[in-house]
Amino acid sequence: MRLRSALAAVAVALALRPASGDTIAVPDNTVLWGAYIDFGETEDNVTLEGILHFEKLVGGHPAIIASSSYWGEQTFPAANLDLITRHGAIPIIYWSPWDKPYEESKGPDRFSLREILAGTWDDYIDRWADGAAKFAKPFFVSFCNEMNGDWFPWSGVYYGAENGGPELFKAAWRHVVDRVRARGAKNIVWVFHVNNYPGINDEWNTMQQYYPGPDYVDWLGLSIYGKQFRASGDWAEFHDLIDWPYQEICAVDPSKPVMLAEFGTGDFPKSGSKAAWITDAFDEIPKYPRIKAAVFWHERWQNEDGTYSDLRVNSSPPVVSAFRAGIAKAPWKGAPPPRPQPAETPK
Amino acid sequence: MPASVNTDRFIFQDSSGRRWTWVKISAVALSVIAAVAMTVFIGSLFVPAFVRNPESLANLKKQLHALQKSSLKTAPTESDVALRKKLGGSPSPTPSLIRQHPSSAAFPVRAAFINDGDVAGLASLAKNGDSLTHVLVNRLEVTGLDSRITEDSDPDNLRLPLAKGVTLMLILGNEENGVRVPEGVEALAQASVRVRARFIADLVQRVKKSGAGGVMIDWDDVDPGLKDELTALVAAIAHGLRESNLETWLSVGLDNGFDCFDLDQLSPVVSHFVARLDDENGGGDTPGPPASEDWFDGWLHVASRYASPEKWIGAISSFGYDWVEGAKKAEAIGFADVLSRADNAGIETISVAAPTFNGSYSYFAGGVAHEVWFTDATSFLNQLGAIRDTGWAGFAVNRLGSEDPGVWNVVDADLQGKPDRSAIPFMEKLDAAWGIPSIGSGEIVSLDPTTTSGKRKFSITDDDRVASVYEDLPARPTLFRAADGGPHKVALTFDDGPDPAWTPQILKILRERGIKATFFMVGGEMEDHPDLVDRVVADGHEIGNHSYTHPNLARVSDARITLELNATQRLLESLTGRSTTLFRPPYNADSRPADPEELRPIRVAQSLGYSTILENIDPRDWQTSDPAEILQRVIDQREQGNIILLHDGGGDRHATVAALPQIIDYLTERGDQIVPVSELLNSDRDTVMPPVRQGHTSIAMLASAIGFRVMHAAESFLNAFLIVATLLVAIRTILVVTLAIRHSRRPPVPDGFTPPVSVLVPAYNEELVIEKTLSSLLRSNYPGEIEILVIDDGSSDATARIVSSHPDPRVRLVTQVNSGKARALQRGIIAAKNEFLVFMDADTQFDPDAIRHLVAPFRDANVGAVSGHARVGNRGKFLTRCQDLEYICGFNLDRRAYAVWNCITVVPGAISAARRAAIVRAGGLSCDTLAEDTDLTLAIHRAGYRIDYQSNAIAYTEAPETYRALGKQRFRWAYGTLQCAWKHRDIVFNPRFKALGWFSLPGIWFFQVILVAFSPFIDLMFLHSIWNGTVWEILPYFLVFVAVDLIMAFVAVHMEKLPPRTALTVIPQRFLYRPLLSFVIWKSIFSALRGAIVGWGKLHRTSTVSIP
Repeated sequence: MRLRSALAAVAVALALRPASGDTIAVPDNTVLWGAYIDFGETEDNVTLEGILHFEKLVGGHPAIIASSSYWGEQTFPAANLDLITRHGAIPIIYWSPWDKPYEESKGPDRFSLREILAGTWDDYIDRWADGAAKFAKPFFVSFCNEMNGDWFPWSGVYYGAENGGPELFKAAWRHVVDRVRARGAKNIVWVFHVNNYPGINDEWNTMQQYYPGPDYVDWLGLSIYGKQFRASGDWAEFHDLIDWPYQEICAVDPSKPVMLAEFGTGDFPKSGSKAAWITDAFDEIPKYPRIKAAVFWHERWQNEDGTYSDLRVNSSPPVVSAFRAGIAKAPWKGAPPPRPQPAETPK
Repeated sequence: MPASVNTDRFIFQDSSGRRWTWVKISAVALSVIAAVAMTVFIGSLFVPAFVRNPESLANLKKQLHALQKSSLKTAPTESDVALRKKLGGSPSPTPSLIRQHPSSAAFPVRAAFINDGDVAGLASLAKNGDSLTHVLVNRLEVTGLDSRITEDSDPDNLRLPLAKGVTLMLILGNEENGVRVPEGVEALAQASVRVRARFIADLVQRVKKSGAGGVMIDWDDVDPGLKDELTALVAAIAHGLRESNLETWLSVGLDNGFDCFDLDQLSPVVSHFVARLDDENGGGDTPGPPASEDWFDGWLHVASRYASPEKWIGAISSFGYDWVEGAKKAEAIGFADVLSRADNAGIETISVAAPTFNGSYSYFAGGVAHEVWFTDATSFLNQLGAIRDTGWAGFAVNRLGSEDPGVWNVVDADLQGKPDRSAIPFMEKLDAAWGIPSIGSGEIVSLDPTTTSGKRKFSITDDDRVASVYEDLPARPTLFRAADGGPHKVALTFDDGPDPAWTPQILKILRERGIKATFFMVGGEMEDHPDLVDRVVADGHEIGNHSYTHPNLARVSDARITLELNATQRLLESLTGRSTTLFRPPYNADSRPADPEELRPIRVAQSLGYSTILENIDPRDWQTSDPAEILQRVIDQREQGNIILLHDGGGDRHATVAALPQIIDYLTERGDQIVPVSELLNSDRDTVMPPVRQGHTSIAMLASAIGFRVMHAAESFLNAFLIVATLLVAIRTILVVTLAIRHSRRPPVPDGFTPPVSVLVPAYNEELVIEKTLSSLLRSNYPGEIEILVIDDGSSDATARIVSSHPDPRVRLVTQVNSGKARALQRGIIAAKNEFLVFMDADTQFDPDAIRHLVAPFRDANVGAVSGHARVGNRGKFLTRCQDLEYICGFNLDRRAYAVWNCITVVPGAISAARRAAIVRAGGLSCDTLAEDTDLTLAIHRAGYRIDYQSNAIAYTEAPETYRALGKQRFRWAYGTLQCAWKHRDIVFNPRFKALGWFSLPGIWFFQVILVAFSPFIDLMFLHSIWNGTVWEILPYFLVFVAVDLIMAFVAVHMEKLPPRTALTVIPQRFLYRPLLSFVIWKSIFSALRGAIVGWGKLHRTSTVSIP
């Protein structure tokens, strides 16, 4: 009798182990909002102070907090993940195989897809996977994002383009995911994260070409950016930027949930209204039924010509109002307050 | 009637004097013992506690050493790249920039930057301000999207510059918590005309209010894409300021200042452009010179292309940066730090020469490489020369407090019209620089007081630049910082406790969270709350020494510092069996002492073996009642340090207690480990608080332990006494007032009992008053027969003659040789014919009704004596009015109350009556006390008679008009009362005497003897409590006493049907009487101990009593 109940307990424990807490539930009637919060040059200096400052600006708590893990650092961002989950948000990590200096459009470096496939970085991948397994709580990983562009070193254009670029990408993706899973890191939710428009508009470079298959991907992701530079590019309204990219990403896989893994725009009042763009985004996104989350890109950077691109929520007074109003509307959902706030002057 | 004249029976008398000898011997012995004990105790506090601070703090200096690099890298910086772009590819300045250095007129603008509130900067300003025309102080910021100005600095910081007569320029920046926030300025540049107008009006008003002469706009990181809008904004501001005769300067950053503002367009409205030639490599950049020579000259050249030369002012740096390998941001340091770090690291020489003409060196500290770059007087000479050659209006030294003092030699040479380089000989000796240098990071400090001077040599290079070599580095008293704990270790510290209200609440929170903290306790508080000290230790926390009385240690002597620390250490040892090596000076603002005096406590503490624990996170919890604000301040400051200062004592700590859980939550969430201070030192509690080893308890330790216990017991006793006294006074007041009111509502004693009476008037030298006294008596409307007996006690004046020649036959004279009032009364009682005797003093006048009322109660055969109501007749002086009020209170309240319970302790000699039979049964009037009236009263009680009081039997008596006379009178009363109280001590708590034994006679002992005797000590306690700030603890008791006085006075005055304000005299009365009463009580006690015979202090008669 005693033995049987003990066995039953073990069986229950075993059955429970891979279940709850290991994955992120896809919301039914809500859309999660999240943010990348200007965590510095390597996008990985997550601080509670930074999060609190942002939350004060927008008057809410993001459900998802984004940060990066660059291979050049050769580390697993355990502290960042701990901090974000302690704060009550779900982390999304942009896990990017590139090396210092982290400059765009410079082509592959020592972390090239070929080196990855050759097993050169297997030790690092294993260490990273161990870190993820140890962390144990579920989190999003957007590996090699925006591969259909031409600015990051893992884009197909750097690996022979139509002559096997996307194929190499898929092989590298599967290699990495297999290794990570083999280390027991089942808590990772893999995001296949493309740019809304391809860097090179050609048949070989469509989203579909890069898709490593439903067994290797949990969510689909889109980057959607409006005008980012004062000197170049036309103003583009949000609804114009999302429409067919949404159709296209949905077609990549008919069953996976979709997130806007990055979205934002610069603030150029003479070209268009950023506030209206944000309002539009928060109104439009819920109209696309498969979009279940959206991560706003809150950053300001200086360009080579000395001008700034200001994608922050506080780039100008109407923008911050639009953002605050946007996240407050249904069906948008943030995180609950992480801890009780101090009472106002108890006496 | 036994008329015993045996003076041996006088109460307290001891003719042999043995008692006094015994008292004296005991007193001397006790004093000697007390003095020795005191000396041993205080001496024990001076014996230094043998504590040793942890190894990790010892010899920090040894962990430093110089790092000889052949050449320090100077990679091209962003600024270099931008410069090359601007110069159109030409890498070096044009030949026209080679300096001619003519001996010229002084620069019209001689400005300097100062950090708001920077103590070192203010010290430099005080010394060098006369050489300056302008001071630039960072005050105003635009960061929010609401286009509003933030200004949270202390207006006092501007006082010195204003007093120095230099023109203040307020810097209008765009920084928030040290980070540039450009959005606020960009929003303002794009805002509506109305919003901008409101902003400008606010700015003008703030500048005017501060007394400044204008504004320097210093906006960094703004978007050059908004050049038109930014230019228009600056122009609008400049217009607005100009209308109020205020100047506008514009700081032009070299990275994008030329791109953000159209300088030519602004030239007509902006007074000066300040070229930021002081900022080649900032703290956020890679290591490099603050302003290398070619870079400086190149940008000087570029800037000169815009506007006209007299519009330009060149900002010249004089500071340094210390880059730690791998850290994100360099530490900004002053010249004092530059020299001290080099000296302590063992750097032998520093050369300020080509190509950068800036100084640099590298060193290792604790295994980490540091790289230092700085500018000094050498670079200043070169750069000032370049500015002069370019024809600019002036310079702005960045910045006061961090500069090489040699800079001022150059500026002064310039002012005197001498060539700049004539200052060189004065700059060779390296001596004092502003501020206190420090090395390392962390909030636990030790001091190296070594002081030497150094020297440098200057030379002129082939291309006519100044170079220098630091040959000998000076040593200044330097703070070594340690135990920064890394990014995620943080210590909670609580100062100024223990406090019974707050410390337990804080301990509870810490216990629930499993957190160990460090408490810096004040010895005085520990002594008051030893149980809390035990609890803190029992909970596993650490205790540090925060002095004994919380003085500002920077302002007291070294000996006092030692005493403060030792006393607290001894107390801690005796309470907990542990010593402490942790020390934090009271009133310590942060971890950056700026005033050399602040180093003294650190030095003394260090010599006693302490580690000094400062703090960089100071949420000023004592200053706010809002816990959210405390939390926010911790959040804002968290990255600046690892030790958080909170308070568990010294005031209302509601907010701290409320904020603490939130602070802990926040720290935990950010991934911090909350540790006690010992852990920051890589040590443990037993090391920083070593247990006092058994068998090693020194005599000094034992002495101080006993001393503290005695002190504590004495304090507890005084406190308990205060509480008991207050309670008893309150109870007595309620009883007395209630009973007195009941008495006043009694029906009057019916008239009609008018037996023959004898009035006894003892007289001694009463020639001035006796006539009046007799006439007042003879005016009496008493219907019965009156016999007036004046007993002349051997007067030397005309008293006897006046009485004997009195025409009224009812007046009789009895004479005796001078032998005292009591004997006179004895004689009078024998000589009197009648059964009922009325007593009066010769200086007293009776109301016409007085005798009638006084005699009426004798209708009841149980009544043995009756007290009348004496009042002060001479109310012309303050002193006599005080006594009047005292009489009014005494008769209307005490005597009425006592009458109700038949426990009157005295029928006054001034107006009273007695039944002869009662006197006889009481054993007659005895002469063994000075207060024969009290004695007789108590004796009549013993005989079983009732004693009544007639408030309408009024007599006016003459009160002493001088303190001296009053003192004599009161001594007589006090001594007499003491004698009677002693003689009749068996009545006290004797059930047979009911209220007399349980209420009025114990009342004499407690309220008239003990309380009066101790009242000066209570007053001293009160004064001491005002001095040490605990007045709120004592004040309630004190107020109870005053309130009791006032209530009684009001009730009494009301009963007397006098205006209520009469009662207010009670307040000054208390302060004037108490010392006197206390003095006479002590005098009486001493007299009693001596056993001397005390004569009857005779009141000097003035005959000023008149019946109103």
